[in-house]
Amino acid sequence: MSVIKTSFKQIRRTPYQALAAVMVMFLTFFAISCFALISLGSNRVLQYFEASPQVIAFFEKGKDLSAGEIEVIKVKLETTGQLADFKYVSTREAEAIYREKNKDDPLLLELVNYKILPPSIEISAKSIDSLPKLKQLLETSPGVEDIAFYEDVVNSLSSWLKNIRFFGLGIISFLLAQSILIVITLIGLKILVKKEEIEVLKLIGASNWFIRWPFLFEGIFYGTSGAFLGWGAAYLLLLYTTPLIISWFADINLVPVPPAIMLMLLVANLFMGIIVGALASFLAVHRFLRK
Amino acid sequence: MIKFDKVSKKFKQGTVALDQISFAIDKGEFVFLVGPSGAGKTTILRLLLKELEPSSGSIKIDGEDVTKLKKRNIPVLRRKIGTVFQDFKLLLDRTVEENVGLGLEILGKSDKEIKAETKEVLKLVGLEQKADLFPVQLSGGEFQRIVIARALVVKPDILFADEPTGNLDLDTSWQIVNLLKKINKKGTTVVVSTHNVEIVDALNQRVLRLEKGKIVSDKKKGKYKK
Repeated sequence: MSVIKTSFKQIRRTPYQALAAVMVMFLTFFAISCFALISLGSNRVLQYFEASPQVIAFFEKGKDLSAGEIEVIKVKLETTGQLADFKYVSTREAEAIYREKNKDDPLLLELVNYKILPPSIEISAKSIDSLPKLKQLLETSPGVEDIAFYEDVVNSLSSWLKNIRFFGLGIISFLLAQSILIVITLIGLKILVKKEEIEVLKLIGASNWFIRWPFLFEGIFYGTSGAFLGWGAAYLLLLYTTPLIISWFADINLVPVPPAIMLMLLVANLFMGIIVGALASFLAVHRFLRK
Repeated sequence: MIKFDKVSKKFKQGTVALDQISFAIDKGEFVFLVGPSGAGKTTILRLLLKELEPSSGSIKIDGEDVTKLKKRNIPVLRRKIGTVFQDFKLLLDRTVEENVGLGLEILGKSDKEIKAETKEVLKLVGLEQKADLFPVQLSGGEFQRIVIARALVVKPDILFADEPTGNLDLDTSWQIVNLLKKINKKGTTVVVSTHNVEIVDALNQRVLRLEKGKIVSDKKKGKYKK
């Protein structure tokens, strides 16, 4: 009888224990998949805000800066080594933007022209931490009348992301430990039931690995089944909540998640399932064989 | 083939199971190991299988010192020795065929090979018609034959039968002993530990007599009594 056949025979003979193990694994991998997707989404939201101009300096209304003035400010900011993006928006460009945004409201279009709009410099930083310094440099540049600063939005998003990661990892570690302990207990019970058989096998020349393999496969089966089901449930939940995500994050392209990413998540889940299942079984058998 | 050199086994409680015993068994020999209960016969088997470690002395099988064998090599040693256990050690939830095929499964043989080789050995012990039955459906003598078949299927160099006729009637005991003789004629070294006076006396084989952990006699064509 091959090792896999023996494993499936063991699983078939204790269906409730097998179901319990798969359910625990399912819960763990469902949490892992959800966490991975949330983490991925949050990262994309953060990237979106990070890529947007983070500091906008407004100059005197209706008076454009000369190319030399713009260059001086740019060079000053570039010396920090933290400047990711620099854009000068002239009064004419500001007017065009204004007109595009309010094209459906002729009254607003009539009231405004480039003479009452300020030119501006929009910048973004390579990292959020360097924003205050860039802001300070911009503030002290000649002609700056007002500064719009989006550090708080990015900062609070970043802090949210850190918290999500922290709590997510905490919950996943707890669930992983719980899964491992439950599989150790279940396999341990099975080993106790098969104690005599294992002793006979050892006496007639079975190696420890011959005894271990069926249990390892059993653990791997629980791990991979739970991983696949957990991933599937998370995918279904993602598809179900897609309209909601689109309405909340209209400007950010969060969904649909590319199939390649979902496939990578499945592969990662299955790999972790193999590791968790095999580790739990190995520990259970090791305790017995050591005696 | 088997060499015990001044082997002693003292258990933690102070019981001396074997006391400085020395003997050698050559390849192809048929040897009876006799003596009262507690004389040390089963301890010899357990030492051979490295289930126990001797307190002193050396045990060699084919020139290899069993006492110095590493843990990972114990399964290889055990595959060399076919063992007929006093308490059978059969797996009751497996069929006769599956029980007999265990040793081959351990060796990693394919299902096809296992089936063919198991069939052959079941024919030798006269159980080919009962391959699909479970052990509980068989008689005591048939039980013993399954154990012999399981030991034989891996073609061991040595067959050690520990009280193989212990719970059997005389007719069945003779059938088992004749089977062991048949196996011995094919070249396997056979060691039989027994209390059965009639069989030992009738066969006229080498007899090693143990008493209180010591070898008190070793005769080429011996009888049960000294």
